[in-house]
Amino acid sequence: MTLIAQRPASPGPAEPAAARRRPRRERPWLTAGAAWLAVGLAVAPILVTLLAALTDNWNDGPLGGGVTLRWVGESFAEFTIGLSTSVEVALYTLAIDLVIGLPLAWAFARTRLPGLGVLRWLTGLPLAVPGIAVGLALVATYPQLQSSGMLLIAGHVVVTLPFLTAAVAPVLADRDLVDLEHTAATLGARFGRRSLTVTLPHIRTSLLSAALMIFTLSFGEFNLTYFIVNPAEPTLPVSLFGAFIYGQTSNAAALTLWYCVAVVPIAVALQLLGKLAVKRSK
Amino acid sequence: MSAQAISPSRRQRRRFAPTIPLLAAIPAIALLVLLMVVPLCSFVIRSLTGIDGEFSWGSYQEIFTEPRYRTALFNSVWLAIASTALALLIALPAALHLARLRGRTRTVVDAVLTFPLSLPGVVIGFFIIVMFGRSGLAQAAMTALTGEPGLVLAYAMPGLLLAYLYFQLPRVLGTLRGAAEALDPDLVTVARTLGASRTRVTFTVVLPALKPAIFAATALAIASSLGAYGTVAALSEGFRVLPLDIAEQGTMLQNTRLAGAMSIVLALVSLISTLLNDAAERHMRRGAKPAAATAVAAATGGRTS
Amino acid sequence: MTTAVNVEQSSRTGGAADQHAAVRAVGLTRRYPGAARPAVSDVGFTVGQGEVLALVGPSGCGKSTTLRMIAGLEPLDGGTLHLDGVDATGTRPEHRRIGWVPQSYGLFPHMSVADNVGYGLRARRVPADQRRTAVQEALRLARVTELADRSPSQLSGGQRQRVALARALATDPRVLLLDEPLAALDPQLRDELRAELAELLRTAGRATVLVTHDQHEALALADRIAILRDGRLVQCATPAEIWQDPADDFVAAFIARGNVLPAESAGDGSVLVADVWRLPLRELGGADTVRLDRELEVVLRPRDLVADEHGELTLMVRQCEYLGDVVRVHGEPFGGDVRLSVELPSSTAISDRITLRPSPGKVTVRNKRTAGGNR
Repeated sequence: MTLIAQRPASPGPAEPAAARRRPRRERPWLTAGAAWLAVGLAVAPILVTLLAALTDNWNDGPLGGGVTLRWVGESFAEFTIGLSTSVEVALYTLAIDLVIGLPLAWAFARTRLPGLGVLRWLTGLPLAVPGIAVGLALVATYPQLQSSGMLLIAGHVVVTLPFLTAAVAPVLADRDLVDLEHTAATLGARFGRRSLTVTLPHIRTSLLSAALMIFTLSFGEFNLTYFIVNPAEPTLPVSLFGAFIYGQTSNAAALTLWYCVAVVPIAVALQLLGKLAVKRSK
Repeated sequence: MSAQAISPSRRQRRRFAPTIPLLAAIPAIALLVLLMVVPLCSFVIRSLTGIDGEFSWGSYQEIFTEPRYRTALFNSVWLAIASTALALLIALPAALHLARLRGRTRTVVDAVLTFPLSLPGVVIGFFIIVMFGRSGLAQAAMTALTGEPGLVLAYAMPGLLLAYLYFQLPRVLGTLRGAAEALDPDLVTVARTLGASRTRVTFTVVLPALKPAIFAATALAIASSLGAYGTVAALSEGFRVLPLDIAEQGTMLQNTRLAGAMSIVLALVSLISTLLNDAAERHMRRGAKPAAATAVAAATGGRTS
Repeated sequence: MTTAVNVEQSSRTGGAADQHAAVRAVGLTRRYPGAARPAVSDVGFTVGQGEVLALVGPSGCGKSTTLRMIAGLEPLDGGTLHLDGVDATGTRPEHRRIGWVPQSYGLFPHMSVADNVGYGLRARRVPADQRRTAVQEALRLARVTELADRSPSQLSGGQRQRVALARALATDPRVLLLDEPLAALDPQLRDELRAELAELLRTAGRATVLVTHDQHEALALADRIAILRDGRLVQCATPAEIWQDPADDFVAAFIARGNVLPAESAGDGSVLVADVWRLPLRELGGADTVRLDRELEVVLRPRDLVADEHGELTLMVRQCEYLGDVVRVHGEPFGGDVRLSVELPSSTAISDRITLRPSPGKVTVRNKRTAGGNR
């Protein structure tokens, strides 16, 4: 890999002879450097976390006391405590998002009514208002819902809904899809059949990636969660927070690793879906 | 004849009327009203209510007069701006390069760069601790090299800046990259054949074309860093930003009036930044749909958790 | 007024069978919200059983909107529509029994060719065995039997078109509706596939309405042609009728590349065309029926004039198109302010001006048509 390629002699009138000799391959070191810096920044902490999780005594420095799987093994039990709550909340959030969000996206895509502008703005509002404000406002208004966990799901629905509509509404508005639905209608298919046999297959890639995104967002939500979660049933990020504040560095690192293991498959699936969508659109 | 001609058209109009899609939106409207509008409005009302139930700007005055809160607000704002600027500085050239990648390298780089989006803010806070904390890697390296522990960066402003940069970078990069990939390569080749150097092409063709995306990314990054709580909660020891005070007032001190006022100030700052960027973006696009970039940003970015 | 014209027109084309016309459209009107003028205004025509009608006109003339109104994909702001004698004005598209082939062919990308063709039968709950037979029959008719298991992405443009036609025909539609059937194809394929499509439509024997902006397509595929401009029907007639008697200069130019020029009686047994050109009445077709006391116009088909150095008309040549055996010459008569297009043998020597005379008996004179009168 040519990370550090030599900078081509300064372009311009100084070197017309060189330019005439042969079209030279350009090596944009600045942009390449920035790209690899970004990659390095993203990867480095994960590698260090891995190192810390495998180190027996982190206080003696990296690999102090040798390599061990002790922390990884011990933290698994702690990891599973929050896991089931997080999965449950994420699944409920996803289900509610789909039930109310798909019709909303459809309305956004297919109608031009003055009220929809306000509604679109309202749907996007949770992106602009800090999560912490949404959380505190929710718990102040509906304190009785906190212990059942319903408040948590409600909060997650509100902050993930804009992602569903943003991903699905443009695909639903696609002219080609409208043409296909019209063709299906002229062939005698009613609304229900059209939706199942034409619309759904057409939007499935973006729908699936939106669903994975919503699951991931809900799974990792902390800003809002911390204030509306039932303390007796913490989600994974909340129990991670406890471990970061009060726990051993290596234990916290091992927990973080488990967290990454849990979300990596989703991230990879999202990645593949994104590529599929690009390929399909060509 | 004319009556006959009108009656079917009325029937038609009823059939094509958009009532059904509107009905479809009702559950979402109800939910958003119950879970967003009502709580936020009551929060606003509470923040404007004095101790004896009278109308009062008191809570807001407190934020701007009490030095502690004023500092926290100031820190929040400039931390958001500084980290966004830093993220743009790295992401702009990086996006131009990433847009050119193909094949396996592209797949791997994509995966690595988007993965941090799925990490909660608290985990990013921990990343900074494990790198630059009291017993972090940097400390160990300094001790090994010089025998003396160096400065602990993690729990103060530099650590926060790095943490913010970490969660903003993939968001900014995602937005800019989409735009860089959508850039018509013919524009660049045409400019080159007209005699422009590569540097000139970058500044006169490429960057202007990316401007709408830059504004969208900026709005997204500032909004997400203003609201970041998990990261600072895991990191900060003494360095105050507004979300920390909101949490403290809202939970420990049960002072929802002040917490509400702070939340609203924070939301307003975030909203102003979004509106400014939207306006700038709209100005850039001149007539093209401005909402699109925001939607793209929302889809590719994500909120801080 | 409009109704009278439409009735007159349909009696000309459909006669007594009008009650059973496949399509009878009366006064179709469509106004898009916020638009200054209607996209389609008061358009009426009939399509007999087995007849192919082409809706033609420049882009934005309302032809596609008209087709979509027949399909039920566009609401009517006025007018009525009968399919096979049944009022379909307010019927949803799924109940109209029509065969719709959109411009992009609209093949469902996630279904095989056979599943695409069977879609309409499945939607109408046709039993599986009958469905299989009908699909086979439709595939055979469109000559795509061997493509049955392919996915639409593996088909060429021409194959897609045939599959889309097979799918539309499989449901035994009352009328086939084709929106720009050849526009999605490469230009070099178009000529070839135009002939194939004409043959397929003839074999299918269905009432068909197709939309095109290309007069070659209209002439090759259609039994009758309806010309629209600015949302209004200008003329609806057979190609021969349009060739012989175009409603106005626009139709003459659009379909036959000919001309309709204003004229007036000179009072001495001749007419003055475009203020510059005197023609004896006895040399003109239609001279015995024309009323000289009303406004006149002359119809000039592209080959009604021949080059002759003693000709009465001097044409200032603006542009020449070489077309093999003929050269198409566009220009202005000397001293006049109209445009004129003629086709001359390519052996003709052409400089920047050329003198012309009419072929005996070819040029016709008639009374000026009132605006909007569609015959």
